[in-house]
Amino acid sequence: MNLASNLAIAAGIIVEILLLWETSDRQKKNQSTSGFFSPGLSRLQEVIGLVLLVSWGGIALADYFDPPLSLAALSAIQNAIMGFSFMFLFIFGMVSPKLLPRVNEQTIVAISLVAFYGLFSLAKLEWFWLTALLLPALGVFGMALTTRVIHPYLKSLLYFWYLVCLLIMALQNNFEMFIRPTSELELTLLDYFIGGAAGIFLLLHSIFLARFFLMLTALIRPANRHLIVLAMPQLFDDQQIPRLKFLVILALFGAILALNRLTGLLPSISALNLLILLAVHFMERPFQLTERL
Amino acid sequence: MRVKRWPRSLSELALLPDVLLWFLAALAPLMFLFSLIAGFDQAAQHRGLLADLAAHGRVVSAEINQIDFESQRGRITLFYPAENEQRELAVIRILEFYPADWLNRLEKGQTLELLCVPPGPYRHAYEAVPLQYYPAFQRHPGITRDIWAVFLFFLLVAIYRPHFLFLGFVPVTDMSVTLLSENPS
Repeated sequence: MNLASNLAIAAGIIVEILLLWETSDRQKKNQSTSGFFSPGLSRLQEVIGLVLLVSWGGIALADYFDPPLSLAALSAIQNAIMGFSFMFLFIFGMVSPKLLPRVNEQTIVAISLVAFYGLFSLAKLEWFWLTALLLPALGVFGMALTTRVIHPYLKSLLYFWYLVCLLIMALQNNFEMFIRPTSELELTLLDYFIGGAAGIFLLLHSIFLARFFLMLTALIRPANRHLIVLAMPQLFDDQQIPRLKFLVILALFGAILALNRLTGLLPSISALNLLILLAVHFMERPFQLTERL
Repeated sequence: MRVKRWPRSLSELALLPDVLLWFLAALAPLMFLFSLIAGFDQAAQHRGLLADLAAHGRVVSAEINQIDFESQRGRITLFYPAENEQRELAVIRILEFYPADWLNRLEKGQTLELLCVPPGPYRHAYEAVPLQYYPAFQRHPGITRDIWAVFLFFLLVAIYRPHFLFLGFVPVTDMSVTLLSENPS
């Protein structure tokens, strides 16, 4: 790994954190200041664009000049990136999970599709594992096609399923690029960038899975059950994309995966990571959302 | 008729277990996460050792050199004869995976049949498992009792007092928390 690849990982992490912030603000309908350059964009969206431009300029320069760095210097850069990332993950995954995007069943279906595609192309599962994975996935798919409001208990189980799918994705990722300065992974700078962004997103949710597991387990006591009813609106969104458009998006996801498999444009894991981030941050943006009945 | 009241200091003393429970409840998410990570790490190490034993394991008769129940979750150091009249080292780690009565019967100088990873470029080189307990060792999840204890203890704390888990999602006023609002006097 060289300076440019480390910068690409850092840029991916920073852009993803800003995207989480922007998604969280947008979903909570916080009044965002309109941008300097375009009134149609928020200030935060412009900052994300600016960070992308500046960071890719820096990455391109680092890649062009490729300064020879000692192992100690590379380790120091990587430790700085990881130190910041772990602090972020601990604070926003365990202490104050304010940046987790709200999802609905349609997002969960898209995430399940991507996670299972990755899992099934890596491993051959026994029939009981297949059943255990596919039954909930089919259930969520059925719910994504209905327009009735779901009970908060069921929402909590769906959200748990979503976190398990993200954990499956996290386990498929190779986090060697984060911890080994001498790593010889054959990746492009774009792969490092996507790896950084998806890595922080997946690890954030994997850490939150531990907390959410405790939250669900606490429901054993009836006295605690009202807490999940109050908590779920912060994590689960009742708005939906119109059914037909949702099916078109799913078909589009499938087509992208098939096309990537045929052409090998991106390494499979990078394509899957990119689709996960698209599903969570951008899937519902172009559409007029409808409230559930 | 005057109602008999507890002295103020005694009623405050009665609050101590509750305060301690709140303190443990605040630690619960962190300690639970710690137990998960430590458990996954131990399970991964265990699977790694099993893989090394399956791929490179060698059955040897080794003589016990030292039995240490204290350091690093307990270990037994053994030596076995190798090529060129040399003696190779083998170590049995994490003694709680083996029956206590068997461990108590072991003595220095005693010979044991081992399945051992020989020296070499292997992650678990020198590590060994008593041959008679290898099938049981294969079935074991590889997680030690202290990690299970931390996991279960903080799971129970979180079930009994889950309020810190919901902070950030539910306003404190909606949580029916009594300790902070009660006047102890």
